[in-house]
Amino acid sequence: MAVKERARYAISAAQLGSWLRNQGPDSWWSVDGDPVLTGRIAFPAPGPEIADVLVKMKKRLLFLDLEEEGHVRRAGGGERVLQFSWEEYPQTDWLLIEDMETAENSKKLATNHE
Amino acid sequence: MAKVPVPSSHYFHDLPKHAVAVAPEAAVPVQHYGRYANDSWNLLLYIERNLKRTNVYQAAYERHMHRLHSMVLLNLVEAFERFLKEVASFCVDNVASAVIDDRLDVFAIKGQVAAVHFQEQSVGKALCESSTWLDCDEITRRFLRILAAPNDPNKGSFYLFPLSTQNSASLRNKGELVALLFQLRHSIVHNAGVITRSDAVKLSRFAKQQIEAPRVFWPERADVWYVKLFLDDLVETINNEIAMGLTDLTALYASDQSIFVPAERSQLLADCFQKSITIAGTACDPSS
Repeated sequence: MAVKERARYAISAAQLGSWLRNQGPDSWWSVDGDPVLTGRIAFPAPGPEIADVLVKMKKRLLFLDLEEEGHVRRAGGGERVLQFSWEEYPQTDWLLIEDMETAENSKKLATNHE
Repeated sequence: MAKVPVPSSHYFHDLPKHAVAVAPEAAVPVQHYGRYANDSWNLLLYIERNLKRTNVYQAAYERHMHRLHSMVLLNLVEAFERFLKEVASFCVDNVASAVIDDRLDVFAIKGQVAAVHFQEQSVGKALCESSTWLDCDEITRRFLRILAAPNDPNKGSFYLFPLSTQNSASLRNKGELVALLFQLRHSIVHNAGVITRSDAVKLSRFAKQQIEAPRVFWPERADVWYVKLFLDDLVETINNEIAMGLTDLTALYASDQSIFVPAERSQLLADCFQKSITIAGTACDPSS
């Protein structure tokens, strides 16, 4: 069911950016279904890189209010999945998905470059 | 049991109509690439995420995921080719009304091909969309001519995939890696993923090591990500370099208002390349 049809919060893009930054530089994320962010950022990307873009956006988000801890769903592999829509485009839901395997691969890539 | 009949020809005639609207980002090449490349990557994540919830036969899972890796890698290369085509088409449309030299002769196009593109009302699309953009030397030759300064005795100085002594420096050493990806694309598309002996000869050259054949290309998840990292970065660099090259060329004609109005042309370029563009002192930022 769409975010707009369920219990939800409205937050600013900057608040999401702040949350992503708090997850640390080693957490990687992908966005599925949102042309606004996928046109500006090459995903998967580390949280702080996405945060840098979000804090400059004067947009607001609808954020699905889940009963799970911190309103974050965990997928089968333990990765966090958050469901949003932009307040101005409530008909289009999109997902912010943690990419744990890419986080691991990025560490290997960094180690190989040292 | 009766054999299931083959669908009638009507089904196949209707097949091309099973389509959806092109994404709005298609008007901006760099965003079109970003959307398609990210969507392709997300396909991989979606399958992974949902299969982890179920019991799977590990061997079958791994076999199918490797095949999916190939498909996603192919999509990334196709998105890159599409990006080159769209940017080239935009450049051609921008120079076609200004230049009177032979630069557009770099495209070999037959009358019938031009005719089917007639409704596009875009000479860029007519010239660029009918060709493949999968040969680095040919791609370089096309952009060299499209972006050449008028009356340049060398017929251009913008090399998309430059040699070590050519400009631009930010694009050096990329051509061989792109050629390697184009060759892998060839194996996936034309040989169902089999690296034939002739593929291996070319791949060995690009990879600077012996590649065995016949073998089935079997990429890992990390391989797909590394290709995406490379192409994402390359697309951004090419977008920047072509924006500069086309801006410089356009500026040469800015004094002749019968060709274009500088403010309008600056905006057009800014919107296409998603960058601030200044032509004849008129600076424009992307509209959105």
